[in-house]
Amino acid sequence: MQPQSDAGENLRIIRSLMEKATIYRAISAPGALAGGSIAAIVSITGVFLASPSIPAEDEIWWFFVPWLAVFVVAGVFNLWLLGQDGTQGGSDTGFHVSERMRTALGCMLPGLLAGGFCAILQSALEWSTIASLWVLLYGVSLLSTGFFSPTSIRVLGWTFFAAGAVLLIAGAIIAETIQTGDANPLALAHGIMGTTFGLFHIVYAICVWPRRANV
Amino acid sequence: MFDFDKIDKTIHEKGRLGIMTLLAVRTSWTFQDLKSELKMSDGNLITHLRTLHDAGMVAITREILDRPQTSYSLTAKGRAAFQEYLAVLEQIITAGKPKV
Repeated sequence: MQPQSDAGENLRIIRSLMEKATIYRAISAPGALAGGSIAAIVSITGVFLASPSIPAEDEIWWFFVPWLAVFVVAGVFNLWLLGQDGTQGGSDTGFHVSERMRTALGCMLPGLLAGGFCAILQSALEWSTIASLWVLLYGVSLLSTGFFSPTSIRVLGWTFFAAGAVLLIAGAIIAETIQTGDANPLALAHGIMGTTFGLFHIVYAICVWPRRANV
Repeated sequence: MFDFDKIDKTIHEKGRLGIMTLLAVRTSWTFQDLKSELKMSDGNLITHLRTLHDAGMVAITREILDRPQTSYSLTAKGRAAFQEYLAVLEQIITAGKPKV
């Protein structure tokens, strides 16, 4: 036995375990890829199908309902993946909610709920503005897990936050374009959702996938 | 010359070192969380936890919430022993460094 190398090895184990025990990734790479892909498909379909002739009272079915479905499906799938991850290595199978997973969900929930409540403003705002608010609040929601998240989640959070802020600032210009009849507001909202929730998650998954086993 | 008998053999075993490290990071861990973090089998983990409990380093709390749940935490003795163990590791590494 070599005491020095043994001591060094044990210190490495301690450091790595301490880091692992304090870091939690609330969005798994496969979850992000699946969610991002579904969002991209729904967005592209929405852009092509959304017509300016759709009555205002039906817009909820052409925008809110499909995106609520995407949120539920992608969210449940991501939670299922995270729950499975928590059972790895043991004899148990099935879903396991770890304390860190509970903490992460507790941190993200207010931001997500705030986004949900924004849909109530639908009668006063364009769907594109609500989509921009969702992007911004999703960024806030991700950043709220920042104190125990890996850098990649924080970068994703800031990306969503910045995109949401830019979209809201540009909102006046976008609204003006719509008024002139040059753009389809529903298609624009689908485009915003696809570019952010679709593309950003796919890029995140591609960047994180190679090292997901280490975090 | 460093006295290697100073190393706490209860903590020095890798499985138990992992348990002690996690317990030092957070106040309390459930059995399930420890198991998934350390990728240990039930039997292995129970054996190591029992050894640490018998040595007075780990406290066990049994609660019945929606189902029975066992949580583990470091005792004051366990925390002191872990800090001492870290100090000993540091001394070993320092002692092995060539003097400039």
